[in-house]
Amino acid sequence: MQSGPKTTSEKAANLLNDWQDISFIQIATILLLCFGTIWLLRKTIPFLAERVPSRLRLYLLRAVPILRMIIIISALLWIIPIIFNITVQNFLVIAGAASVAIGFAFKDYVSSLIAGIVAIFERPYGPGDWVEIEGDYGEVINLGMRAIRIRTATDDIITVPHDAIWSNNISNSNTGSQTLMCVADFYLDPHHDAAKVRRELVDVALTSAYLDFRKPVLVVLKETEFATRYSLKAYPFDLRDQFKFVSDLTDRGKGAIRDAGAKPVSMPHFASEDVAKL
Amino acid sequence: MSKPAPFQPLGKFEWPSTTVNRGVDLALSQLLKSLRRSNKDAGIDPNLLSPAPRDLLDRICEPPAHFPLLAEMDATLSAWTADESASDRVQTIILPPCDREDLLGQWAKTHTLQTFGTDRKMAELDALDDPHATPLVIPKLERRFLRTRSGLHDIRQLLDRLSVMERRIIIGCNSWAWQFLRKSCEIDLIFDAPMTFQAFDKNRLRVWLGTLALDPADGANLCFRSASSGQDVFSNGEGEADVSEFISDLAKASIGVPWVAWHLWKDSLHVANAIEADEMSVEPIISEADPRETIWVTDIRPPSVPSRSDQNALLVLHALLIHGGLTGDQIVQTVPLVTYTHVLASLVRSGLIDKVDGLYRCRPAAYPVIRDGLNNSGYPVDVL
Repeated sequence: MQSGPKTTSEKAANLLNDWQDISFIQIATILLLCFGTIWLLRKTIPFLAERVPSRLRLYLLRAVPILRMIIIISALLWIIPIIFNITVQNFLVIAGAASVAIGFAFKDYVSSLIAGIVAIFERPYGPGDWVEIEGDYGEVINLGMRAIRIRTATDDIITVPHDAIWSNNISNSNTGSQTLMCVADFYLDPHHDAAKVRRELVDVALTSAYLDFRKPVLVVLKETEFATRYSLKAYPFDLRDQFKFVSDLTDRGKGAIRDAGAKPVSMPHFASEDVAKL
Repeated sequence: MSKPAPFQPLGKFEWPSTTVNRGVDLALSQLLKSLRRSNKDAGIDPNLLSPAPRDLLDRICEPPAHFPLLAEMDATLSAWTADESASDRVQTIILPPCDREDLLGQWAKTHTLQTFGTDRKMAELDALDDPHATPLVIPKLERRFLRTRSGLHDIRQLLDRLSVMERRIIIGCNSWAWQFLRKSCEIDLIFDAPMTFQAFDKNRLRVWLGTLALDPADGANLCFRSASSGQDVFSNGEGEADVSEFISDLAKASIGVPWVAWHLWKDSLHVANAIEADEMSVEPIISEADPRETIWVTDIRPPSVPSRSDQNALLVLHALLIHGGLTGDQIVQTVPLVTYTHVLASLVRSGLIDKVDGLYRCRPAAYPVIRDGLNNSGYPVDVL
């Protein structure tokens, strides 16, 4: 065997750098810095976001995934040349091996990671948005690399992988804005003065303490099989108040309907023995 | 004295500071003050000071807090008032809230114009509709409705009646109520040329407070010195660049509203406790060459506003600004306080509001921080 300095072609053929040349301490330091910075960002930015003027809150929250992506890519670009001997030939070898591994073992995981990157740019949702995915409605409280976390109105935390965006409809109620449309529905006996009820319901929204003055107030009527449905649509000045706003509209809307001489309808109640007889 | 500045169309108010730069300014100025502070400062330890006694305040800080605006209102409305054939039938004056002395009502009184006060019933308006009479003044429109459904019906009826009156009218409304009525009653379509005063920036403030501080009894025998730096707050010459740091801070803190500035100024006036000052040997800090009596002006320290998490407090403050003042019962009608709460007592204790004759009102000195707090929490705010 002939030993001596390696030629360029021999070096290129080596996928990995020599073990002696790989500084594991450097890699560990980079990883530590990377994850430490991400951890710090994930703690401090949401903390700040709750304390700055509310118009800046969503901008700050949306910065977290973008900064995290930049940090991770920077760390990867730093670490890869330390471990691998990067040439065109080696790149093809690594890409081929990675494709096989991903194709067999990590398909779903990588699909979610890629969808996560797409989500950062396409923005079907972002931190602080109120979204509905597969029937679950809630606020996006965390946009991770693989999945998002949603907090529902009942305080449940639901984790949805990013790859849901490939095959599901994502309904985003505010898409980055400070407010969203809230709807309070009322079902009334059809025999009433609709114009009067409509006017009263508009005033209910106009006198709500949560109303955003810049947005319109609308009442939509629809005749259904059993009742006339009134949908009172308005915007609160802060989307975090949406449930209080709808409750306020519903509470005072009932009084307005009563004052307008209309009568709400409700599903008739049958005792269980009556149902059994039927 | 310079010529009174006439009122200008709504929306042209030049705020001396914004919410963001006020916060940055405050932090920076506190930092700079702490860095600059040294033993050579001719200031005084705040612990050696007491609020200026009432009789002294009556001499050097005489009400009304809106005094300079009376002349400006004259400059704006006198010609129109005298001209019976004026084409504009209505003049609308929009003022920031916390105008406790009723600027428009006072102005009407000095010009012996008939006012239609909040105690008068709407049915009386018909009897007052004389097209040849002098203008009818309707001050404080914000006190004529409640933010409830029935309140909206009442104000709409009043607006309908006013819109068909043949007599010339001057309407006064606070800027928060105006924003609400624009949304709920389209008031800006009936009264389409609202006006407001020009902001009281540092130069206007210096001239006004300088005149106010001249004690009529003692002439110019008073010296107003900053408690932190010892500088005379009025003695920096005539040019714009020479306005003292305190007056500049006061203009920013009062957001250009004279009655807010007046209350902040009044709250900042202190006198040294004679015995303690003597014991603590503070004589050297008062220049021996200056024989005048020293009034110490302390830094402006506005109360802090609750954060968004204390939503009941913010909702109450917002309602109080829209209506100018509310009783406890009226607050319950206009604010959705669904839980048992002691929010009013807490707001009074914090110095943000006070209660006079059963009416809760925002304190003028706290108005800028309340406005900032509501703005930061996303509430709809006024436009001047």
